[in-house]
Amino acid sequence: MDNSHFISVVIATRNRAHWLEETIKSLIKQTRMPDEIIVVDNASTDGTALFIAELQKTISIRYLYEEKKGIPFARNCGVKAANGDVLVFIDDDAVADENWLKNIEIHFIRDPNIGAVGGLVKPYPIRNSKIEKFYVENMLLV
Amino acid sequence: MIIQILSKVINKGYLNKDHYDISSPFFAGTNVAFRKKALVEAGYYDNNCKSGEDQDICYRIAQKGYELYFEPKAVVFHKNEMSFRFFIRRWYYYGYHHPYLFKKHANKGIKLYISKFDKSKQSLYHLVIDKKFPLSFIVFFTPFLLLNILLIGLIGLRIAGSSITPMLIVSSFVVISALYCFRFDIKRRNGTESLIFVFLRYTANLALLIGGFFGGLKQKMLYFNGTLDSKN
Repeated sequence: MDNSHFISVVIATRNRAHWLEETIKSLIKQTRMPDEIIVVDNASTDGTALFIAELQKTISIRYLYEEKKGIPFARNCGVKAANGDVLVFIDDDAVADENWLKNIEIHFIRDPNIGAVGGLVKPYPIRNSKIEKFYVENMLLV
Repeated sequence: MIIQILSKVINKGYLNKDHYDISSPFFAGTNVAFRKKALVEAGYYDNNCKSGEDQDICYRIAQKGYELYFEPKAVVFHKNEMSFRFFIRRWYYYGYHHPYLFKKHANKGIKLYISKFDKSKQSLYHLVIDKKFPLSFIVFFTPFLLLNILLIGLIGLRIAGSSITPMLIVSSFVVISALYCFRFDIKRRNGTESLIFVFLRYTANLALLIGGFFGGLKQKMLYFNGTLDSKN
């Protein structure tokens, strides 16, 4: 039984610089800090690169660029570059709860046969539209 | 074999792979962690997957003998772009790309699925017919599909200049199947919300069905997708 892991958090992003900051800030507030944060820029045209460069002044972020568009390309680019033995994925339009990584890591430590751990996805409380409500009720994972 | 578009994972714990004969449980790509070794052994994400890549990778990792574990205390809050246009496009997109996954993991043939009444189980459908055949003809026979077949039948009767009696009979079946399809939406206390939900469910399902049909043709299949018939 191993006691701790090297956790790489991988964020694939395209043209969501305006949302990325909140995603990344939620990662540096974790009770179990990530060992590395990797942002894979999937051919953004909105200045994501500059935005990350600005964030890198205060936060340690590895920036990668994947020119082939598509989530699998971007995630695979992150997987290949990651140093972690546990790779955790979050999207650029999501924010993690502060105990997110802690609650994920427990299971990788506990059982070496576990290949994947999934968590709960809740709607981000922005507004209470009917479409959003429909989503929440019909897709457990929004 | 993967058939479900949506994940039905709700309870903390191991996902029991052996119980899923026709559907495979999976985690959403925005909140999932992998042991790198498992991801590499399974062969990474499938670059040809435009949607459902999370479903595909979870399935392949499970096939390699690894366990999948759901931890509801690991929470991620997801923002949604909630314009109506985006809503329709998203469901069309899910529908359109699902046949690729289906083709990847299922044998060619004629398959008929019927939606289950007991939705408490992880799988939403029964596999009723599974015949090997050189062409793929896949039907998820849902109440929503029935409703639309009846509606088309009704229009057909009208065009053919049918007398009133057969039209009344078909109309009553339309009403019954519609009441069944939208039963949870109709039961809401708030009338306006009921109407909006019926409308959203109808359009989302139609987008899934049409998307699935065209996505199926691209994969050389005649494909009628599963739909959202009730609360999960």
